[in-house]
This record gives sequence, C-alpha cells and structure tokens, in this order.
Amino acid sequence: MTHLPDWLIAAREASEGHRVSAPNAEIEPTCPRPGEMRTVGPMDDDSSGHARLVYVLEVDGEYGFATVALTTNELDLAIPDDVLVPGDKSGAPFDVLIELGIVAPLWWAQLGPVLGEVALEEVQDDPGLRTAMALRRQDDIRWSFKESELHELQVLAADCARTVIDEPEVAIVPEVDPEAVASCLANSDARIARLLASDGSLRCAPIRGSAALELVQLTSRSLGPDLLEVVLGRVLNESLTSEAPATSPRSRSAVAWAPPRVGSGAERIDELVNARAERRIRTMRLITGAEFWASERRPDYCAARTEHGAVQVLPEEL
Amino acid sequence: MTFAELRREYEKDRIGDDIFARIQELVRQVARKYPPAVYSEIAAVGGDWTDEAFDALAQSFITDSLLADRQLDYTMSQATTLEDFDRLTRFQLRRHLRDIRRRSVIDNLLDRVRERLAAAPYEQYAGDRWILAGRSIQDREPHRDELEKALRRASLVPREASQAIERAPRVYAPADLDALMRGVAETLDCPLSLDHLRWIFEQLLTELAPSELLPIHEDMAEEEEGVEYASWAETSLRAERHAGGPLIAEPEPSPEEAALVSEAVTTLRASLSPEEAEILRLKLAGLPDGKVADAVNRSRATIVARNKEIFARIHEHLESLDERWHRRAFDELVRSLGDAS
Repeated sequence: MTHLPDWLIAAREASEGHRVSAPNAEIEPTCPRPGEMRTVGPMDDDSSGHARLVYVLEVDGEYGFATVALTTNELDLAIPDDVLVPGDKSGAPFDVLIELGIVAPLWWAQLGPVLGEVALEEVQDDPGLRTAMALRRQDDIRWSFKESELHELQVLAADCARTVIDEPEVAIVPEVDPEAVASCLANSDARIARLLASDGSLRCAPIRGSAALELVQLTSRSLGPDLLEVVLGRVLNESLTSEAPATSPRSRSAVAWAPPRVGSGAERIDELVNARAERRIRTMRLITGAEFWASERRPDYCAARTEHGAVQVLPEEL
Repeated sequence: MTFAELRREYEKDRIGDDIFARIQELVRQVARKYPPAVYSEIAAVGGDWTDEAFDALAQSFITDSLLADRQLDYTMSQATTLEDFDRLTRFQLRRHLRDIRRRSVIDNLLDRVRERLAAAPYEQYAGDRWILAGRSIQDREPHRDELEKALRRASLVPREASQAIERAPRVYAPADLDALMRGVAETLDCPLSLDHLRWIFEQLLTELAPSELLPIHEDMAEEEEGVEYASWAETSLRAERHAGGPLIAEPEPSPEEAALVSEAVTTLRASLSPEEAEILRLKLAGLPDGKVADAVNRSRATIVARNKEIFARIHEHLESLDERWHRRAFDELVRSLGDAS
C-alpha cells in the first residue's frame, strides 16, 4: 500500500526513462574511449574519495590510465574553461558541465558505467555552450568551488598520478604470470620462449619470491636447451641473484579477481599481486595465457583486490 | 532502510514510499536553516517554516529538480551508501533553494525594466520590442557577438550589495538600471526585447548568484546544532525593507506590550559587547563570516562561534516575549545597532 501523493505519482509518470547504473555496477572490462562520460570511484572501498562523473579526454594503454576532466551538475558555477553538455547531445539523462580545467589521470579499473558519450569538438566549438563570465575575483564563490572540485579529483587520482609520475619504470615492466610459467613447464609448452624478445632480452621482470624456487623445482628436463636457458637462466635464476632474496617471506593472502580468473586461489600469482599492492603500485602488466580467464575474450583489464588495496592488472598474451 | 533497498526502490519506482519519506526528512533538516520569507514559496507564519511550507518545498524540489531535471538520476549515478544519498540530496536541495531566489531576483528586475521601457527615451518598435527613440536600427534579431558585447557593457554597471535575508534584492539602483538598459540598447543595432534582457541578467546573475544569493545561510553548517534559523532573520528582513513595505501586515502592541518589547531589546542590547554588536550589525548587512572576520580582525572560526553565542542570546532575551512581538523587537534591535555604528 503506497502513501504517495497524487502530484508525485503524476510527476513520476511524466519523467519516466531508463534508470542509471550504480557507480559500482559490474561492467565489461574494456578499454575506455575518449568522449565517454563515466562514473569513477576510489580504487579502494575504504578510501575517503566519493564517486564522481568524469569525461574521458585521452587513454593511455601502456600504463592503463585515462586522462579525465571532472564534470559537475553545478551549471551555474561555470567558468569560461567549462563546456556545457546537454543531455540530448551526450545521451546522459541530465546536463553536465565538463570542467576542462580540472583534469587528472585515473586507472581504468576506477572507471564505472558509461552514462553518455559525445565528441569534445562537437560541444567545445559551440559558443552557445560556453557562455560563462570570466572568473576574476577570489571572493567569487566559483573560485572556492573550483578549488574543492580540484581537491575531490586529486583524492581520486592520487594513486594513479603518484605511480605514473614517481614510478613509471616499475609500473611499465610486465610481470609474468607464475601460473602460466608452471603450466608451460608441466606441458613442455614452447610458448615460454616468447618471454624473450627477438634481441634475447627478457620481456618481463624476473619472477621473485618463493614462486621462483617452486618453479625451478618444476623445470622439466624435456624442454630443449634453448628453452631451459630462458626458464632457468633468465626468468628464474635472475631472481635468485636479485636484490630481493628469493626466499623472503611474501604475502599469499587471497586475491579477489574481477572478472574472475580460472583457478583463482593459486598462491603464486596472489603473491605477485600482493607484492605490488604492498608497494602501493596500483597497476601491473601481466603476461599470461588466455586459458586463465573465465570469459571467452581476454579482458582489457581486471581489478585484483588484496588486503593491501586493489591493483589494476593489464593482461598481455604469452 | 539499507542502501541496497533504496537502490531497489529507485530501480522499480524511481521514488517510492521510502525514498519519498527520506527526501521529506532531508528537506526539513536543510530548509529550517534558511529563512522561509526568502526561500519558501508559500507565506511563512510567525517567521517560521510550517508543515505546509515544507511540503510545498518538497513538492517543487521533487517535481522540478529531482524528476524533471533528472537530478535524482545524477544522485543515483554516484551514490553507493545512504550517506552518499543524503549528502548529494542536501546538495541538490541547496541548489534548488538558490534557484528559487534567483528566479525572484530576475523577475523583479524584468518588472522594473518593463516599466522603464514604457516611457521615454524608449519607444515600442513592433510587438514586444523596443528601441531608443530616434535611433536608426536594423529590423532583425541581435547577433550573438552583439549580445555578448552588450553583456560585457552591462557587467560594468555597479551592483548593490544584496541583503542576505531579502527574498529579491533589487541588485541595481534606479539610475544604474537605467544606465544598464541604455548601454544594452545602444550596443544592439536592432530592437531589444525582454528576452534579451533576461538572458543578460541570467548571465550576470550566474556570476552573482552563488556568491550573493545564498550568503549568510551557507555559513551555517547544517550539521551544527544550535544555529537553527529563527524569527530574528525574517524580522530583520522587514527592518531592512522599509522602502518595500512589510511582507505581511504586522499587528500593533498595546502600550504595555510595547514597553515590554523595548525593555527586552534594551537588556539584550546592553548584554552585547561592542565587538558582538558590530559582528551582528555586519551579519545583518549580509556579509559572509569571512568578511566579518576581516572587518573585526578575528578568525573566521571565531566569528562562527560568536554568531552562535549571539544568536543564542537573542533567543534567550526574546523568548519571554509573545511571538507576535518578535519582529517589532528585532526592528528595534536593528535600529539600535544602526544608531551605534
């Protein structure tokens, strides 16, 4: 039995339309595209950041981040940098301002559902959508509004910006999935040779931790001498002589994968992801096999949630 | 109610019983910080919000903002917890309150413009369009760059400081409004209409509105207790609107009651230190806390704390009076503050 007044029932019927997705709704993990309006949230659920709506300006496939501009429904607080995007141009249910002065990088894994899409040039060059008065005085409330907007985006973007700026080398070197290596060793799979580039250099970081020792013991003598060189000489043995002792204890606490991996719960890959999360490097390129994904199509990215925070994983084919 | 339940109701009905009840509660929490004389679309009784006024505000907020402008969808695109939903809804309601006030301001300006256009130096051109008498113009609509030029010229006309608790501050003194209209008419090489002037005012008020249309009230943190809006604000509105006349006819007290009012005000005024009196005077002039702090060389936090103390003292001294005389008492207090400054 409803107790709604008649005016509300009438207003509800007059404004029927599709419902928007929740910011944390499950989505197809595909690479974002410039022009999309998407919700974004913090990497970790316990973060102080709030979900917001952003406009994707550029996409970087190497590190897996999107350069985004914040959007707002505070249409009255526009400044000349901002572009008004009416809902009928973007397909979103409401009008927003794209705040082209409030820009930051965000991990793909922070992006939620697409609410609309419009090419920037389609709206940016329309003078009717950029009519705001100049922002001249600090006591104009738009000044403090822009400061708070910048702060909100900085909170969301802090991890991504720090990694991309401070640790680009670590973030960009791919890791190899120890489970894929173990599978190759067990099956004498020649794909393991793909870990070496054509010039003989290693395409990935050496496997570290106790996973390396385990894999050494699995090494099959049925592999040809060249492949043994790859596996023993480079991928595994380099780890034994690296600055991080191979046997140093590492967390193997369970990692939750979205989308799920086949055989998740495998400890060696969890160790790898945990090590990243502990160092607060929230992205990882992972050389792995297609057989480790439950879906038919390999995801463009996935989120691996650990007790130390989430890591975005960008799979590459072995 | 959990957020998952709220989300399910949104998916099913958009606004059902639970979401409606929650919004009504939020409307009451937020609106009671704002003076009803300024923000309520139906007349306030005794200077306070009534159930009818809250209901009317909830109705206009839900129909105009949340449903017609799809702002409920905006909220639901970002909320993942009940706290998020409440935070975003409060934020939406504050925007709605600001819009109510801005509409009043622009409508008043256009009423004044209409009166001026009916007299010299303007003459009706055709239909609802006007020109400056004797000026040679082209019979067409203005080009966008002409309108923007007119806007730039209009933006140079000085505006009056708005009164924080006045529903529709006049914004421009008569001579300045004349100058603005003349500037627009001279900039356009075609007739001007009320629609053109409305567009110009909307652009000007885009810059003006956020900073000047919700000044004193935004300083009141809604989560803080004890800063609730009381009849003092509405009363002071009347004190500052002598030219415009009272919003509601006021009863006259008997000589004995008038003496009681004067006595309460005298005691209250005597209880205020010179600094407190100055802070109150500046707040009633519509200055935000930051400006008041600058004027009396105190921190903003100190001013916020002092405001609470002062408002509590006003309440303490006036609560013994019959509610009908609160406005009169406040008029006297405002006058005494003005005399002292």
